[in-house]
Amino acid sequence: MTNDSSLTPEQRDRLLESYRTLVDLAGTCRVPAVFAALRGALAELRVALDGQGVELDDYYRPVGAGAGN
Amino acid sequence: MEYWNGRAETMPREELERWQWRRLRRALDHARENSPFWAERIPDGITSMAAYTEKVPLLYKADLLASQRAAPPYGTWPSLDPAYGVRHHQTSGTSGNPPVRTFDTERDWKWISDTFCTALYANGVRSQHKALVAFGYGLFAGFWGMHYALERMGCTVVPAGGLDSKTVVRLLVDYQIEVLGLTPSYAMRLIETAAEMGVDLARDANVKVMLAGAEPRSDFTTRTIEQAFGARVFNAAGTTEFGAVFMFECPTRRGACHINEPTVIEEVLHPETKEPVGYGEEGVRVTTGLYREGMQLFRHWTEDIVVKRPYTDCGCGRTWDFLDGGILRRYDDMRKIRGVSVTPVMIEDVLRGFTEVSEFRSSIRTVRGLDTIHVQAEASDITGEAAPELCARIAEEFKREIGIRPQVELVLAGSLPRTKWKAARLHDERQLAHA
Ligand SMILES: [Zn+2]
Repeated sequence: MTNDSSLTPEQRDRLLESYRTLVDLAGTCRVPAVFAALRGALAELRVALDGQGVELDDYYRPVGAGAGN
Repeated sequence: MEYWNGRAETMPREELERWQWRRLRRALDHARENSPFWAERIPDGITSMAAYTEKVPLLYKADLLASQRAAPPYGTWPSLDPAYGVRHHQTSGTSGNPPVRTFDTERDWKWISDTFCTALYANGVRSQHKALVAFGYGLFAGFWGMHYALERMGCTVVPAGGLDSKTVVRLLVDYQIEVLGLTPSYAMRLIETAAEMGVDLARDANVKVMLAGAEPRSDFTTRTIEQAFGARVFNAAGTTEFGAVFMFECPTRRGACHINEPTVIEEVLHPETKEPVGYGEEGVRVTTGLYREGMQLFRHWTEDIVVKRPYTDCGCGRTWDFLDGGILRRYDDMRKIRGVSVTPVMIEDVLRGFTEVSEFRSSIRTVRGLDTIHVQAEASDITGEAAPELCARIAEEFKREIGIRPQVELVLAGSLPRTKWKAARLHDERQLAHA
């Protein structure tokens, strides 16, 4: 038996859309607790997208991450 | 067949290779732009995979160490400000042999966990399994990624760092742990401890999947562990320099360790000529990382001797080539003794054949100008005349299997050091003697 091995085009688009929404939010959010959640979620989504072969140009780095926020 | 990530694991080969090339090109650009170390080593104008292997020099551990010595702690190697790191790891450096230090960004760490998930899922681990990771949880990266992967998959993880082996055996039985991560040498230690406690692991515990990584092992050791635990042992490996799990054993074909090819390119080169060898031929594994953003790796000469085979030889549906038998041995662990090549795994193979021997330590010494193997073995129930008789049998078996007759000495039970991590059972003491 084979499990579902690929996303549908619609699922893929919605995943990418979620990622972009969170990138925007992370760029403006100043609430540390929320920013931390965004940063973690972005890293997870990025790995998921990359794993599905979705091409994203930048080397991902949320603004303010690592340098204190 | 079920896959953690079916798209990546079963991608048609041509598509996979194009994907690798796009990732490599992007990784090279990122490195040249952001890392002084790589900017010096990677020339401009690499337009194909062939140009890449032709123009980018091999990277040796000494190169990384020199960079880190010149600009501690990470050297000029990073491609991102280390402030983006969310964790630090380093190799187990010994005196006179400093550690390699690395950091991981949040994205890097999620990716590392994901490569562990790929391995664990292939080996039958599913959410709601109970897992125990018997590992030191220290500076060494080791099974840290496995811990995070198990959480990510929805398993319940018992972190058994810093516990004595009796407590670990009790946890396995009391919590009916199904998934166990550890080194082969520590698995052997648990078997010994369980026997002392009167625990039959195969009957009283419930371990089904064992991920025994981090060191080359003999087939005999794998079989012994599987019988004692009544579980399937799977091989997997990663390195601190690369960061993630680059290979894991397939459940379909014993010994077939699939390379996680969307995230790594594994060349196999002849140890002396440094020319590529074909499928089925032994050579040294040379790693290129395609994903990590903080500390990148291009053409790293690992010293691991491997044999690569095409994915079609497996038949599980994955399109990832595999290393047959995983890491067979370390090129730099091979010692010449009177013209005979000897590795720690060869010695282990002989000694594990003696059920009386619970632990051992072997060294190469110069005795009256002649290099020889000196073996210290623990054999608890052997006394009187049986002792010299056992020594003679061990020496004879060495002579037959390896071609060298060692000096064998029995020592008190429990007197030799046990390790949870990276067994090093062949100590070359020749230089010390000459010094
Ligand atoms: Zn396979």
